[in-house]
Amino acid sequence: MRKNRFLTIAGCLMVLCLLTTCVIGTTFAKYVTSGETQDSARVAKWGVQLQLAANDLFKNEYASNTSGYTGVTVKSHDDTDVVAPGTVEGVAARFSITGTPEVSTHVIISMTNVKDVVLVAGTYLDETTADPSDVFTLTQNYYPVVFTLRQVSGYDGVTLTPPVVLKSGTLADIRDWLTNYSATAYYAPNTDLDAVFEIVWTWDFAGANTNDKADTYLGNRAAGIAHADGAVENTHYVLNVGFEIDIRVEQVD
Amino acid sequence: MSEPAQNGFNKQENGKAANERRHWVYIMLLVVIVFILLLMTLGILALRVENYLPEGTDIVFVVGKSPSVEFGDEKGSWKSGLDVDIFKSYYENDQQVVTVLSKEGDSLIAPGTQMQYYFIAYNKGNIAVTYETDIDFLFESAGQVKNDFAFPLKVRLKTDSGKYLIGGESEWVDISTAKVTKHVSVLGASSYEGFTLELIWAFEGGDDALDTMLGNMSASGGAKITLGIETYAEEHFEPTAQGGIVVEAEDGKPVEHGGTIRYFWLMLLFICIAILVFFIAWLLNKRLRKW
Repeated sequence: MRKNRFLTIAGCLMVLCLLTTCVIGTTFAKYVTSGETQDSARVAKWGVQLQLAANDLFKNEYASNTSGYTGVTVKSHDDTDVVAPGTVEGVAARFSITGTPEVSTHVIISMTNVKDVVLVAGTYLDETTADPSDVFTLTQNYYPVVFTLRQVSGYDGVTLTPPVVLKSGTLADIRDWLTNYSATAYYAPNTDLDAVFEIVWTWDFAGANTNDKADTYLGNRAAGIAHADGAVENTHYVLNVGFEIDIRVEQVD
Repeated sequence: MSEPAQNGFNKQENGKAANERRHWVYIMLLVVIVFILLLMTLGILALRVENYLPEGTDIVFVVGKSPSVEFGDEKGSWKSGLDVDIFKSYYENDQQVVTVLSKEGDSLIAPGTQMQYYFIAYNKGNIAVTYETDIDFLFESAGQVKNDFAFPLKVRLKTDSGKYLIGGESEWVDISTAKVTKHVSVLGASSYEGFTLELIWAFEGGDDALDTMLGNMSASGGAKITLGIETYAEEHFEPTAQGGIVVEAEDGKPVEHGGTIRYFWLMLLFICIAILVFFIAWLLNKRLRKW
């Protein structure tokens, strides 16, 4: 009886041992954990816009610069752009910058391919008299067309009345002024860059800086009238005006 | 009683005694086998039950497992629902001049900005873990998620030991590539690993038009990025696996890895069993000799 009991117990334990060994590998619990985090950011605003008015600096037709007369005073016979003494453009080229970027910026305004109307210093035929031997002498270059760069509204968008004259003179003078301005036009983040500039021009009909003889000489050359003083176009005189203007606003690192 | 009868009786008595001795030998063997089986069963059950007991519970000769892994930074463990500080509201250049500044005081990013974030995976438990570190990235424009947008952000990830999980010392990886790559490592018991996540939006990234477009997008409808770090750790099949930087215990003792067998105690147990078995055998032998 005792032998049987022991055999039974041994048999049961052996079965239990085998069963336990079988399940040990299948339901083994495993530790797992996880962690996560995040952060968000907005892209810094740029939003800078540049505008340059259509280049109608020199119109074919001009309104009179005197009150009471609204007719055309100067008109080109072949519809090419012309300038003449007494012609004034109220609003010539206009360019503007808008935006409040959240980054440091550098404003660069440059002028290239500048061409001024000029009669180079020298002696020329005086075509204001009937005597073909009469001459006149310029001791320095004569630039009849005066350009003015002015700021119409400030960097906060406020209109400036009157506009602030930044530089007046030849196109070359304005070009040099813009170069110097651009060299230091660095602005901190969140600066309101809103500003409007314009270039106006005038060819005075009369005044302290005018020269009737030189104006007449240039006018006759523009009209194609022959002359016998040996002056060569683009060497002794230039009859056309022109420029290219480039505006850039860049982020500064 | 006659001599033949006496001899017959003696033979019968001797046969009976021999049978009885044989029986006791069988019983002794059975007892030993039962005892060994019982111990084996108990041992296996102990290993089995140990998995369901509270963490850290020892089963005498099996060290209890106490797994514990935390992820966080210098401000503490990561908390669900709370963002960390990876991005800033302003950035300075090498001359300490602020070149990017949020008008609204919130975090932002721009060309030329570089970010760095340090975080730690700390295995405080007594078993090694395998852990995975993944980067997630999201770009939203005007409130809409743009999954396929190639945002010009680059990233690299390195450990305190100098090993790069993403990128290299002179190599940055596009965020779109980094977010689909899995990075798996091992962290030993009582060890930690520090990570430095670096992000850069290159100033001269080669695509000014894209940079400008993003800036204008932000000015008009909004442009936002979300960077996520996801970590996952699970028990290593080998509790004693090494990885990371070991944290020395205050008492200077080496860590006792969970799930490992205390061989000293096991050996002691077997010695006790052996002594018990021999004692029982000796008692039975003594009894047999009396017969």
